[in-house]
Amino acid sequence: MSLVAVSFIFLVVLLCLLAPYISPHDPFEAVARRNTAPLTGNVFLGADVDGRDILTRLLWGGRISLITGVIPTVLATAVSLLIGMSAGYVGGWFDQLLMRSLDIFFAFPLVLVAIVVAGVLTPGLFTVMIAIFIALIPYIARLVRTTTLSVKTQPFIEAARASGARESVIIFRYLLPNTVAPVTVYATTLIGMMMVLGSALSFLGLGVQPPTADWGLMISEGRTVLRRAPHATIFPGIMIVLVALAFGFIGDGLRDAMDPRLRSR
Amino acid sequence: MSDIPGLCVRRIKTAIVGSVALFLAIVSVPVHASGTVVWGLPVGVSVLDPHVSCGWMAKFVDYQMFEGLVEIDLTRPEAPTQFKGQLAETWEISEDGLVYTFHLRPGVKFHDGTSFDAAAVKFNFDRFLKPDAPHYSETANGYFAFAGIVPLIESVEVVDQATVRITLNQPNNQFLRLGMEDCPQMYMISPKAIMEYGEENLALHPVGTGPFKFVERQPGVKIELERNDNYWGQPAGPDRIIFRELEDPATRMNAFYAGEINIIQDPIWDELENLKDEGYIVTKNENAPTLWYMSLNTRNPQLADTRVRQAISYAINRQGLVDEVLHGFGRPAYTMLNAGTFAHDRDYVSYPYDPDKALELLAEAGAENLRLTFELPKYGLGELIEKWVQRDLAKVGIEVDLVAMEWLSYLDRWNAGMPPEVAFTDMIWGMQTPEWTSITYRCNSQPPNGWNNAWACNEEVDSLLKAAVRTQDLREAASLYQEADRLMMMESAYAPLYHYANPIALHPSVKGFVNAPANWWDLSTITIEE
Repeated sequence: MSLVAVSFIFLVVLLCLLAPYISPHDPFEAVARRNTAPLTGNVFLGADVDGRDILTRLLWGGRISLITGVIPTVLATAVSLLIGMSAGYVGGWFDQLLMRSLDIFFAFPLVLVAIVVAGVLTPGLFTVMIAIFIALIPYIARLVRTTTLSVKTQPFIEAARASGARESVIIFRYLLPNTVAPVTVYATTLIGMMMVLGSALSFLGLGVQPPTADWGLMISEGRTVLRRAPHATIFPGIMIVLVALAFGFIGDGLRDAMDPRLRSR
Repeated sequence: MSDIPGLCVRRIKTAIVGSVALFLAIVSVPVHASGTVVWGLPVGVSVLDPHVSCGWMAKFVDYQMFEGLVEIDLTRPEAPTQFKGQLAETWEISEDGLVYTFHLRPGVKFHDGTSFDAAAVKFNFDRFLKPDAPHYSETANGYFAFAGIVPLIESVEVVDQATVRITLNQPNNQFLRLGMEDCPQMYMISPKAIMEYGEENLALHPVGTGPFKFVERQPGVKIELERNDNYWGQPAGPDRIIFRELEDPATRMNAFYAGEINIIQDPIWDELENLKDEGYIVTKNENAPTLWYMSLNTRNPQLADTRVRQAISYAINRQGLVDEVLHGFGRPAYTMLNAGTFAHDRDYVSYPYDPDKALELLAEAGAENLRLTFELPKYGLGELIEKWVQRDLAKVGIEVDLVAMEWLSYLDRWNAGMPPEVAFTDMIWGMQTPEWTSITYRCNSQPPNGWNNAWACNEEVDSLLKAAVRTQDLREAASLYQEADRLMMMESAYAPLYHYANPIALHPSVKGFVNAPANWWDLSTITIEE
């Protein structure tokens, strides 16, 4: 399943990257009558409320939706590794200070934090990324810290310390590789969720601004003609669901591959 | 085989639409209590104190509860609208147009049981005319002054208990109409309520004489009225009216489909045909005084040349806009002298669609590489109208940047007049009196004294408008208003886009609704058939 998911994601990324070359129309130009149904004339998946080609906008919008899913998650993972590992490894008051301040964020739902961050900044792609980045850090950092705490007490770390390994060696050679694995799994499953979150922010008007396409924004624009032209909402919706699912499957696959107990079976 | 993909798509469509509808049906409880009109409003309602309130929605709600001496008869769909005596049974205007004598209807009672008489009329006028009156309201004075009513009135006298005489200091053939607009509303409020609640709380306890009386208001949720069983005239059809403020078009539309509301004002235009197909009643009025227009900033350096502004007006395909975006629920507008008024000329076409002419004018003016900023309000439909204009102007080489804003912040900017860097703003507006063009055209109507936000000024227009409102001959007035409008259209500081036909959709159980040529409607004629 995860292989299918990987190939699907690969295909989607490829198609979106090639959007300028393969998309049938200009994403901002009206090429058909407004709300044209799919499979009519020159628009394979129909036209939206402004008469723009939905297939073209899916390809272009996918670039933004994928970016909002992947980049903030990767960056948040990197920062969280730093925060979580130092908190877990150093321990004591330093740990308390870092983790308790991050705990504050758990008092609010992830979506709310993202909305607040996006709300105070001017709407745009960059804002969406910052919002997701900030909202994600507490979640990943907490996982990194717990993993660090459990790895830190493993016999092989003690062995390394007993044999006189330097702190940097212990951290980078023994601690980091054993922490990165579970975090990567977690982050991968998050990518799909974050694409949904990015789309939600765009839907609310806090994300990318028209006429730029993004799957969430396409849903938002299509919603006013839900009965007359349901395709304008359905196709971007299907894309979000499929890509989010695919990232979920990839995460599952990674976990299976990395979990020693599952591997031994 | 060829029809299978289509069939599939249609099935998926049906399934998904079906499940959405089912979901909405489950989460929303229909409120078809017998005889209840539930009306979905497209914009929020401001305060329900007629003397200190502006806006079509507040006027609409107040129309059901309050009455004036004379009102517009909204039970007829024809335009221009006719007067009917409400609290005045009859009225006379003196030869010179200065003295208005109103003979009041006997035996009328306010909702609180107090009697309506000449003293109550005087009391209401004193609220904004007489600074030493105990209930004088400076805010009300400000609103009535802005509407041009305060400077007109010389005196208000009680002749006897059933007669009131209002004397003007100059003739004005639109005096009665000015008091029937929404900003503010010349309605009679119970003097007892005015004294009891004071200006602070009056809006929470509106007490009038109309066919409906106030029940409650939950801000942002609903306003509820019930039938006034002691009404002096024909009792109202519905037992109850509930106004729901549903500003998001999609939410409003879904509430209608789900049966939460049984009348929807401004349905989503793209759904209008679908609504008819599904068996709902879609009403419109071609003569609604509602005009969607753009202001072209005469102070913008790129628009300083009149020919450039004219080119812009030539370049817009209004018929296409009406057909494609409005699905025929409007008419291309070539004049600011709006439909529904007695001075409207249906046949006058100032700038027909002619992109070649536009290009020619632009070349003549030496205008190249124009890049213009268009400030507009968000109305939940994705800037459909403005994008249409943007596309049409692109065809003659003019680039337009759309800047969409929230309604309230937009309104502030719009009221203040355009700064030089802004080229266009737009608005949907219009009154039932041609005097409306004075508010947008006169030199002294420039912000902050009026709504001439394109900073247009033409002395000749001013004197024509002044003469138009003074004459006692309405036919002469109409031709003077038209002459002023034509001069102003040549200036091209305003580009009318279309006359809106005010689509209102009804649940099939709603009978007797009249879509009058106004921006508010009489709900007392409705009956709900189960």
